[in-house]
Amino acid sequence: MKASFLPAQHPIEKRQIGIVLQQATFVQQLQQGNESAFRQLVDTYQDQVYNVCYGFAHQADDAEDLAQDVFVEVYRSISQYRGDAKLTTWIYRIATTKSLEWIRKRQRKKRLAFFQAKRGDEAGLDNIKAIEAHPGVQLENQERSKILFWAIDQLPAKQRAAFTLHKIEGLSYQEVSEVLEMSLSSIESLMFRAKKGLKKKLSAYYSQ
Amino acid sequence: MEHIDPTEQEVELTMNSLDGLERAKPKPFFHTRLEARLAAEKEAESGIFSWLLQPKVQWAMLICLLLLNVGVVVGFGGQENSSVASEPTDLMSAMVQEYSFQTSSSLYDFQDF
Repeated sequence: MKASFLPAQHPIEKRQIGIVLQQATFVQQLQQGNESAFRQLVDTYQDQVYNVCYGFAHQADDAEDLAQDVFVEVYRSISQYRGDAKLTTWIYRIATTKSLEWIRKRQRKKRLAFFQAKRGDEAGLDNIKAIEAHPGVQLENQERSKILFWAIDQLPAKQRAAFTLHKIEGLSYQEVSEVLEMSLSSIESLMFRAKKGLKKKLSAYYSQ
Repeated sequence: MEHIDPTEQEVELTMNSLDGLERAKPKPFFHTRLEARLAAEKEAESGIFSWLLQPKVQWAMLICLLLLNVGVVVGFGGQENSSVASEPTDLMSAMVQEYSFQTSSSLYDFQDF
């Protein structure tokens, strides 16, 4: 019998190595500008990216534009991807960053419109009307979810990002921490503060 | 019987309204629309004068323009002033010679009335 100096590999380990090698080849193809590889990437991640963007934008057209922005960015910066994070994490990170940038720009425009119109609190109520119900929400929860989205919109950026990735995209705290490049305890703290802030906001809303 | 605050109950229901959420999906042919956008952006980038739109080039042009302005003000400012100042007197003496006016015009001189 032939002696082997290499440690025996468990079947699961072999499969993991296979996946890693497959991903490395896939990334290499993307970096070489392979169109079919890019198509495969879009087909694989379009639902995830669109859902995250919808979670931030609450409107189908804005979410579509944002999702396109994300893939354009992926196409342009894939050469800079060094494999430090999983490809999925990297794409989620781009989607979150782009969405937060979009929100900042929109808030700047709204602030300007606010000063021009001087409409005060009416602006806040208009926001709820402008929110489209998330297509994945159960029918009986649609109106309440719109109010929740209105409250989420008023959270600070990091809390909002953590809450959206966890509650809307269904990522675990560990995955959220990888996307936002923060420690697990920081994410737990962000989520705690986000829930507390939302409850306060909702209580004020329902007490009106 | 335990009393439940209706506001609190509504807050809880709202907080749980995203439970069982399904992913939102883009409209069909997302990739086709994305491809069209990428193609349009590539075309815009490959135009003859597209390099002029690059921020680096625009900053460089702005700095060149500013330097040129500063150069003009510093280098030719003094000369321009002297030539401009002397111009009216040259013109005046030419007119005086042309129309044979007296150099010491007394038309508005009160002493002569």
